[in-house]
Amino acid sequence: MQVHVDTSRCQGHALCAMTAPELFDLNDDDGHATAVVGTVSTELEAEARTAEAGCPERAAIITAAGSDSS
Amino acid sequence: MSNEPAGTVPDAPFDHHSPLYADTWPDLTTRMREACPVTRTEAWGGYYAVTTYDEVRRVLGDDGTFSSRRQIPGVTEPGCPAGIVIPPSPEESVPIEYDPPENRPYRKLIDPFFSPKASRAWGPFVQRVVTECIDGFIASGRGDFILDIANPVPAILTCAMVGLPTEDWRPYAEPLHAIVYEPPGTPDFERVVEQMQTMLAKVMGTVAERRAEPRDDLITWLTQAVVNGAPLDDDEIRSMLLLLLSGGVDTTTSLMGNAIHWLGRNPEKRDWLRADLSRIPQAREEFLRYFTPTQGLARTTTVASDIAGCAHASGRSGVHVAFAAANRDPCRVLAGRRGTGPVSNRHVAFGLGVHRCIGSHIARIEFDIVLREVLTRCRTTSSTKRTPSWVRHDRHRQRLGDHAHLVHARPAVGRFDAGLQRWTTCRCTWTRAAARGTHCAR
Repeated sequence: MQVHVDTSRCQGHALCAMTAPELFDLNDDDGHATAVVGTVSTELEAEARTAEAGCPERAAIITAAGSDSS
Repeated sequence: MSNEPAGTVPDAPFDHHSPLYADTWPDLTTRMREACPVTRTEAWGGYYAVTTYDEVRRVLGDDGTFSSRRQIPGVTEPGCPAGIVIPPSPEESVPIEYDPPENRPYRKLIDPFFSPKASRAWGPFVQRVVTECIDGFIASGRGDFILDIANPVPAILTCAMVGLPTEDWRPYAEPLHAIVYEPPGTPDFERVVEQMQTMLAKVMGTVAERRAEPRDDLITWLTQAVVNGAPLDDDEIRSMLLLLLSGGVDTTTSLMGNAIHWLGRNPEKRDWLRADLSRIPQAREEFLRYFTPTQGLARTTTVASDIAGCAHASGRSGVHVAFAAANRDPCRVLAGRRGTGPVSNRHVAFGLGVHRCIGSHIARIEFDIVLREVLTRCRTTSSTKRTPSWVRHDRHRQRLGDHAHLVHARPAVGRFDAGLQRWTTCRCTWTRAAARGTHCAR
């Protein structure tokens, strides 16, 4: 599992980082998120799903490991 | 020619400034939403109210069709502004009443002052203010949550964040609350508009001072900023500060007041929170969803447009985007919740899209500190003999009971007094009471 932030949708609600601080970094100036790269560890998968479900802009996206994500 | 949707309100046209809305909005908007995602009303010259989560999301994500601007070339008539409230507010707010891309440089200018990182840095200040507010009444054994905490804390913090004098917070707070409570078109509203002008003149006095003697604050930053190749003029600065003050003060007071009032009436939930303060964030998101302090904002169609597939709006139609209704839409908001994590709740209390509330991060920090301190240091009770009525405005609703929600301080020794303070009405009297600053010398 990997997480990805669609930066064209992200508006800096920062709910992803509240839910899963290990998986998302927030920009110091505007709070927009970027996902940490790499595979989400098993113990963080539930948090990742909650972060995806909780993003009001649908900007936090889970992809399967190995699929194209930036 | 147009399809009038079925979701009209029986016996009265929908009007988000009406007593009916104020008193019954959860049921009212649920009935509207169940009838149709969009309701047509002829109030205020006629507009549409969008009440489903999906449609609210769609409208807020389409700035091209649903504009926030006051003047839309080819659409609005000169002298007949549109903007983000229905009816239009007397003054432009920037950048909320700009569309992308024009909003962008203004937003970028103030983003760093309100980012999650910047907001966290204000935590200790908020803690000190809240502690002082509670210290002010705790020895007496009795306090009033609205007057002693929910009114001063957001006002003091917003003044501080912007660079206005914090010891002087009351002249800013009073009109900012009153402009929310007084329905437009009334003599009281006109009076408050004048109060706002006076308040903004004061703010501009500080702007002039900062131009002469810069400090390390937001106002100074605005006086030195360059946008689109030119410094900001006084009108732009005034419009930006108006927005920050409007956004930061009454909304947070409202959220806190509603939350404490609700907890007082649901003591088992209050005790559940008190038993484990790490539950506060989860509760806070639910309070945001449930109360939605900014009940809705407006957009204007720039072209003829279908809304929710059941109404066809001509260009230059007002659309009330009902955040509060969307937050009660069972099809979407609750469906987004999974697990028991604190933020699986996908509410739209802070809006969506490019105009997402810039203060969302500091609002959460502020709320959490207040709730933690009140739960830790005070006992809370509430008693209402009548159903409290919602105070009216299309931007904000603040629910104030006919009886004040009273916070009983728990002194180290001594016993409590179970007294209760009455407000006689939920509107003007509250504002005057707040201005009188009863209970403690501060």
